[in-house]
Amino acid sequence: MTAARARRGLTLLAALLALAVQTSLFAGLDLGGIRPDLVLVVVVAYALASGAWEGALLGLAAGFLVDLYGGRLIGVGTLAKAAAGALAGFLGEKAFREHALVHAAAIFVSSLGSNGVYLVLARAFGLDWPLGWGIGRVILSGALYDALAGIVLYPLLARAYRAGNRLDDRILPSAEGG
Amino acid sequence: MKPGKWHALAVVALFLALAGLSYVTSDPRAAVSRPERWLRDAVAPVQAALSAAARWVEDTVETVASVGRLQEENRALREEVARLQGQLRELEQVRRENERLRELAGVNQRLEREFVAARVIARSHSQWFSAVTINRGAVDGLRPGLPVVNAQGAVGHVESVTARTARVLLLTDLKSAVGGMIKDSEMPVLVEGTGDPAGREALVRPLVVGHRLEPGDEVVTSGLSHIFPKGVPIGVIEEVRDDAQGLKQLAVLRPHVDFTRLDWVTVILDGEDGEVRWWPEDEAEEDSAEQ
Repeated sequence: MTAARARRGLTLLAALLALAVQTSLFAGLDLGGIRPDLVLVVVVAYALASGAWEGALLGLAAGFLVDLYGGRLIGVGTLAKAAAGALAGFLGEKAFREHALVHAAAIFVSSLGSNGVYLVLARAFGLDWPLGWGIGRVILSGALYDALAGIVLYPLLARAYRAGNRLDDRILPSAEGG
Repeated sequence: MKPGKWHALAVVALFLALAGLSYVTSDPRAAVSRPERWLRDAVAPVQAALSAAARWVEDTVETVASVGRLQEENRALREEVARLQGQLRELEQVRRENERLRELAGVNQRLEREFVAARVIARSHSQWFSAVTINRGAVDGLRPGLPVVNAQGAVGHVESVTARTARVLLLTDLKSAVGGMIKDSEMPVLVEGTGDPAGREALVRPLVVGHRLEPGDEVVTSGLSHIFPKGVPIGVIEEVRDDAQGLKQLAVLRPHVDFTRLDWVTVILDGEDGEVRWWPEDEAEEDSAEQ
């Protein structure tokens, strides 16, 4: 197994755990019905460290898992999370990545992008959410809450970075040797 | 063909496949595919454990806060209170649990039907949708279409089931539509969800021309949508809007159920038939009419 594959697999597992946490443990933390999207936080953290292409791929996989779990509009969330991953990866290539505020900003922008894509595609498939609260309450409030979650979770994400780097160090020599 | 073209073709094919899948799954579905079932059943035990942990934390925080207030009022007993805090916390949690179960038992008594009590273990995966997952499934006799209520009134209906969990589509989901009626006049209305993530409003459309809706009207289920039995409380009309010509009315309803704090719910197993006497005064009225 290459380091990249192991990293992808572990991050996807983390995204699945994040889904379980955001639908249960974080259910009581809603503000006006808005809850943080922890799967997005995981996707953005991975994309910042791994680049736009990798971020898009992980967003695609994690988004598909979330869609499959939700059972509604399967594919729309997949594309939205892929867009978020690509966007965050692109931002990561341009900015200093290991900083809590960079994380928060990347999460905010990616959340806006992801939910914007979701709203547009969902409306194309006949789900006419009112644009007023769609943009104001879900997209903007959601992006703020996601960014806040990113700041709170930053120590955990930074530790995950370091663990990922250690994984690279451990697996790469054996992969190169064997 | 060059590799670049293969990549472009693969991306287009993926996009088309996802678009097709989105189209097929744009409405709530009763049928759940095997991968969906596996995923839901795999995540459910983790969600149940995490929900229980979240409730414990919530109860403990509330209990600690109330103990703090008591301490201020009873300084003389501070030492005693400190010693009993641990026991109090546990007792308080048990009391809250009992309260919820008593409320539920009250509803269940009023229902006089076959039912299954269930606990909410997860909220919707996205704020765009209004649904919850409960810890009862096909093995408990649940099937798509069954009505779900709690102590406050109508919650929604079972959208799909796996062996041990069920997805409940809430009344406030954009795709939810339930037959209702004005409690006093029995005028039929349609109650539609708006998708509001906080679940604080639904829309009411009158089904009879010429009958006016008024703020304060109590809306209950009519039994006409083949989901709920007749008489389950839905909410109160808060605001009535007329269209430009004044011919059509549209009302905003505030549901009785607090959809952000759902915990225990009851799934009615014997379906939509018959009528429910929800309020004690309904029973009293009926008894006096019989006499």
